[in-house]
Amino acid sequence: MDDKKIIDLLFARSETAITELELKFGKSVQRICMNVLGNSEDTEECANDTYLAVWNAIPPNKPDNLLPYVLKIARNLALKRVAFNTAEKRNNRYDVCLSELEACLPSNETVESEFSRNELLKTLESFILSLDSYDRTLFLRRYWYFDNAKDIASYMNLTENNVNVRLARIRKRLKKYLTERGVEI
Amino acid sequence: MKPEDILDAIGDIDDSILLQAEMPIRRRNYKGLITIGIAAAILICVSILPLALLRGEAPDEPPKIPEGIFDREDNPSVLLPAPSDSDDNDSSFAANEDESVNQESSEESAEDIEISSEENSKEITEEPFEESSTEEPSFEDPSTEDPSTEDPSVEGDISSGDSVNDTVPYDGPIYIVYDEYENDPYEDPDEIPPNYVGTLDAEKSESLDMILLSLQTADNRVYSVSDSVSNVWDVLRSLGYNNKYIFQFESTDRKHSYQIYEHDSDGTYILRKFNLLYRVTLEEMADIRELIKHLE
Repeated sequence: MDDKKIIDLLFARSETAITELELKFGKSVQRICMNVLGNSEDTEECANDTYLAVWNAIPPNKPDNLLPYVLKIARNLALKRVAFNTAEKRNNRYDVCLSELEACLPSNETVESEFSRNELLKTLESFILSLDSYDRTLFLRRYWYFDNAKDIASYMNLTENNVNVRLARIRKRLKKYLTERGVEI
Repeated sequence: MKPEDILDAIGDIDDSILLQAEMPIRRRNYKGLITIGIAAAILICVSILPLALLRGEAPDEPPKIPEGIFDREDNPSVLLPAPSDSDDNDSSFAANEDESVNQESSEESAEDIEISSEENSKEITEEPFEESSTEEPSFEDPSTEDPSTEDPSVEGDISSGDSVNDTVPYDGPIYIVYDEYENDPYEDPDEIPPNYVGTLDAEKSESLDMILLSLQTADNRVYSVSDSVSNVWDVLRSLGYNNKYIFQFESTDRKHSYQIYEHDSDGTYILRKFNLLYRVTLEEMADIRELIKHLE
């Protein structure tokens, strides 16, 4: 089923949309959740949370590209769960109190920090676009999908070492690129 | 700025960029190798077969060349040394002649059989380089050359495709040979500090992705591979070799530098030794080999 039909189903509040979402994007969602979380139990929960979040977000949202939209939600949810799990592992009273108080505090996002974040995003986007398609895919596979070298090597028909070498070069270039544009690292 | 900020920002990149990572991947280099291999095979067939027929010695079967790789064993005519009875005044040929004095007569006769294919084999090994023998042969005008580089025993240089290893067998490990001059930090060999060790920066590392001129193995096989360093590394691995390299970069003024790199375990290339040579003589090649032995 194409994206438009799935979105139509979501707008019609048809639960078939969830099934279709899972059929079409399930593997990608599972992969990114697994890459971030590292265990199947959390991955399964995170995937389900993703479909629920998509269900809640569409409507009113109507994304042009459903795949990146769904994957971004999955990625964000997985990262949040990692943060939650990490905090849970720390589990000392100080951290618990801190997290309780965190909800009472106003957002620490200022106009400046938001601007800075947008600038960083633009810089990163231009850097990614400056890479050739091969390196771009490699970079995104690693730092967007969190694929490991072995998976990337398999996907791109390279050796693991080759992937690591290329990634090392890209990181060096990124550092230089960010430094030249005044991004403090 | 923390790494989390970057990862976080990457998470918000534009959808159109993200979609590109989902597109099918095309392995870009082997097609070029296959093309080169096929072109070389055709060239060899077209040039060697008529010559052999003229001599009344038609080969049993056409040379077999694997994808993009010129294998000396399969295609012995590709890398033959210059003919010792050449009529021209090429000093590198003369040097070859000198060096070949000590060779066994059986080798000479074997060379004679293939002398007529010399021009063609040079052309093939030099194929990736524009400023190779079409503009000038593998020697410079002695009157314009740096006096310090003049050497009557000058051997054909590696970048021009002449096989130094043909006359000086080398039984060490495999090396990739590149040639570079433009980006050398030291233009004067005397400026190079002893035990110079440097690390490649990103741009330098990128420049390693230039065309690979040739790849020499211990058993004198020379492969002509047009590929990036990282993919050449795959080739090396497939041959069962690891870790040690010499890179020779293409130069425009026939000055060459040779740099030995070790492929580090963390995925970086470390410059182990820097050695600037204006021409590759047999003596200098011996120096390089000594250097390699020390590094090992």
